Amino acid sequence: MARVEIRKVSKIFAEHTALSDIDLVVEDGEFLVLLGPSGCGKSTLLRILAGLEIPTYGDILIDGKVATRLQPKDRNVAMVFQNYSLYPHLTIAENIAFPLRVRGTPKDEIDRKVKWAAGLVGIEGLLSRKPRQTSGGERQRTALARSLVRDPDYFLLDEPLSNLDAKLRHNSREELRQFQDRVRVTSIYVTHDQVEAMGLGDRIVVMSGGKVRQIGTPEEIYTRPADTFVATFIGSPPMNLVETGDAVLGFRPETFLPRDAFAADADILSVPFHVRRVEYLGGDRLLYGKVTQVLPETDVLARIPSSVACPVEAGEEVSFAVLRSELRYFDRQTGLATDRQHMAPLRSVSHG
Amino acid sequence: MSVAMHQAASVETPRRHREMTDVHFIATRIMIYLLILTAVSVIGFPLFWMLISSFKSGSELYTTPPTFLPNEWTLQNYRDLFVQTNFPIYFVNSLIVAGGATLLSLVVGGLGAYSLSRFDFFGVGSFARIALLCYMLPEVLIVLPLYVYVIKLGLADTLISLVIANTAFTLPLTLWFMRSYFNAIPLGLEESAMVDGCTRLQAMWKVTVPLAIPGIVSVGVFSFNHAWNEFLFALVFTSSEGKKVLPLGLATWIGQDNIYSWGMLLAGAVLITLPVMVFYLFVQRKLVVGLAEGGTKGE
Amino acid sequence: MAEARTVQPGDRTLAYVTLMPSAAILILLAGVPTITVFAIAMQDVGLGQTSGPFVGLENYVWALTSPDFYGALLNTFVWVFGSVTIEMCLGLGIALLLHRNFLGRGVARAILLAPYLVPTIVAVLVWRYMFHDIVGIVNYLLIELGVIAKPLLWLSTTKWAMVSVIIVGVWKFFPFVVLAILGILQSIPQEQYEAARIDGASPFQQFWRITLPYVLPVFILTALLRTIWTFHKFEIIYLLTGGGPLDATTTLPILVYFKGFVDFELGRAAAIAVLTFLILTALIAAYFLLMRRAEARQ
Repeated sequence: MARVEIRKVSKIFAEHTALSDIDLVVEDGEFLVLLGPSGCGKSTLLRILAGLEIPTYGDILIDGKVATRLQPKDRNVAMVFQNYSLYPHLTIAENIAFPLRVRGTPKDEIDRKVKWAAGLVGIEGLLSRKPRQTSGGERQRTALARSLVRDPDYFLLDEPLSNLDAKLRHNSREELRQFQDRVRVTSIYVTHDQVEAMGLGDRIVVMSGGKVRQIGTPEEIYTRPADTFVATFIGSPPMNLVETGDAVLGFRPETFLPRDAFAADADILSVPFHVRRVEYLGGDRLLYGKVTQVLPETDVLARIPSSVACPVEAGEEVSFAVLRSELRYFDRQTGLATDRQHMAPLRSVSHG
Repeated sequence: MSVAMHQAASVETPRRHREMTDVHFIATRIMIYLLILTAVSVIGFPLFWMLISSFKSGSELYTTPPTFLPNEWTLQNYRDLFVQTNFPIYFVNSLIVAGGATLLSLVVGGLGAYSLSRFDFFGVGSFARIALLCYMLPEVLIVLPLYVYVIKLGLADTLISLVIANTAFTLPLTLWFMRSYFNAIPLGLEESAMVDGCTRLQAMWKVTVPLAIPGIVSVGVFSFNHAWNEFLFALVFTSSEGKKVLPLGLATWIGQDNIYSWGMLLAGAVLITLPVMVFYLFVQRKLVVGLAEGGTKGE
Repeated sequence: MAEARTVQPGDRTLAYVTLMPSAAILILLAGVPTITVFAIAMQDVGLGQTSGPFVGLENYVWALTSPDFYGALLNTFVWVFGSVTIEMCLGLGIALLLHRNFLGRGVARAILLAPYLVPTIVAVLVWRYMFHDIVGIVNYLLIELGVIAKPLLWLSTTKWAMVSVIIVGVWKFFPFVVLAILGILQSIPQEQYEAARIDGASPFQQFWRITLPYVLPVFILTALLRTIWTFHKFEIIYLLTGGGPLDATTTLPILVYFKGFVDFELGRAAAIAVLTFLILTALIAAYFLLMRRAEARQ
């Protein structure tokens, strides 16, 4: 169990800067997700936490002690790699035992711990097989067991589910989270898949271009994105963004509903919505179209659950609305969220 | 406002870390460089010595103690080589033999390799493996019966005999490597050419071969190199001066125990090595012997 | 492995037709000669002849009772064992060095691999000049460094001739080992080492538990190949010492040459060649047997 602090960490390579001034605290027992597109620096940060790289600036503290330059073996850390990194010439049991054998642990203790770790992830039956005789999911669990067996202070996971097919990924996500709840080791998880991040993390760190964009719970990030990047990166389909004169206006597709769906006296912004196309996706309907008149003409999306009646057809123009409390404002220059509760009266686009 | 900004800025500046100040790291680095330097000096010395010595005058090559750098640089040895010996003839002969064997292997082997790669009919697969076996046959074994052929066919002391004999060894290599190069070219490309109206042969010529050019060049260089350096067959099959290839030509002088013309020999050595070195620099990067597949079983 | 392939009419013919020239050449130049050697070995071929009366196993008997044969056999084993063991160790060491990243690695690599591509005649020429007892640089350096007092006759004493030949052989052929081992080293995923570092493995443990298991199969295969090829080497020894002095470096291939093209006894030469081939085949078979047994034990 450990509390991990990242203080003003930067990593600068000859060709580009991978990380700029990262400040972050991971609480003891927390499941923290580093989320961002490829190249955003999340894997570099993970490697710095592992001790595989040294930051150019800044420090890492583990339980209050400076650990920045400590070799990986001197930090009590475990890491699950994207490709599992199992040793092909060893059996599953020997793979799991590897960290213990390397430290000279006595044999019976090794056997005990290997059985325990294998039991935790449910691969007791595979212990005598070689990695090439196991499936992707089983290898991933082996990698997990190998990390567990040493009782680490914290866990690092580098996109461990990205090599699995969609269905398996879903199941593994659930197992992973259950498992972490049981064991309660501080875990830092890297992914580019925002659905995975939202599903797994206690808190999510959204990164892009080597910088932290926002830190928060899944709900905070979704409902109150700190800037337009987070707003469009999180959520599928992404938040609608409309550039008005002085600010960028944002609202999520599921908050954009026909005017009639709201009470007559609701505090809403009503906008004519010209529907171009309707996609039926089973659980939802997506309406592609554009808003006009009240807002500058912009393509937006509306998402309506299929369980709700939606008499709108393609080609129609219907009055849609959003609760003003659901509107988000972002600065036009910086993209950062602004706090405006009110809005200057919109210049209506005259059409005549 | 400005006071608040000042306070924000006075948060400690983060520590700077330099990667390479680790003592352990530096010590390892130094040891690596020392070892490499030793290895390169020892291994590279003979070739360096050969080059340097070829520019020394004949008499300087016989002084004791030997001089390191030439007292006076001279091209006399090279001149002597061309004027006093049949070196130019040897050179041309080597070109003919190596070029001929390479050409023959590439054409015949290229066609054969295409068949091995694209077709799976009876016997095709095992042929590939047998071909490789042929490469493993010792020269001393083959040279005896081939010598008998050469005499009986009246091909003694001809370059043709060498071209064909060398092909016996360059062909299996060509087949084996060209096959894996062809394997790497997706079948889909030829199939789409055939859909566009080509016959299989046309598809091969227009699509596969151009894509396999880097592979063809590599194999060609290997074959050329093998034939260029070949000695035993030349020794046995040819005897007259006008038919000698380079290795044999130079070797005839060595056989004599008092080597008075070291200068010319060294110059000859340098010149023989030149084409090889040029090719070498060309394929250098690809030179990693792929024994891994055979070595790690079933992975 | 059989994927769905388009099969066109005429493909079958094309397959065999394109393969025909290769097959023909290999059969004629490799297959038939191999059989012919056995035939020649059983004939009494006189001077200047290419065939002779059938004499059964007489040539083999002569070979197996000839001191020349056993002398050559012994020399061959010394030559092969000496060369291959040194080549493998040197090659492994250099490969491990070259696997590291350092400034000037490309140049170092080019120089260290050059001996392999240099024509054998060139290697021989250079080393003969270097080994020369009076003007050779090797004796000069050794005397200057105080290692020896008087110049050694490297190539003309029975004691040192084999040593010299092995030195030149190793110099010329060790790069093959380097290339083979480098090949496998470069295919080991870096992540395996990183995972091991995180698990706490020391550099030695990383070498022992990750590098070695990958390298070992390739190492053994390379040793086998080098053994086979070194066994049959003719040119390098012939040009360096001509088999002498006093047959000190006459290996089996050299003996075959002398018997066949100097003494002109083709039949006996063929017998020696066949015996060489059989001895080597026995060694290879032994290797595969050992491999099979080692795998069965796993």
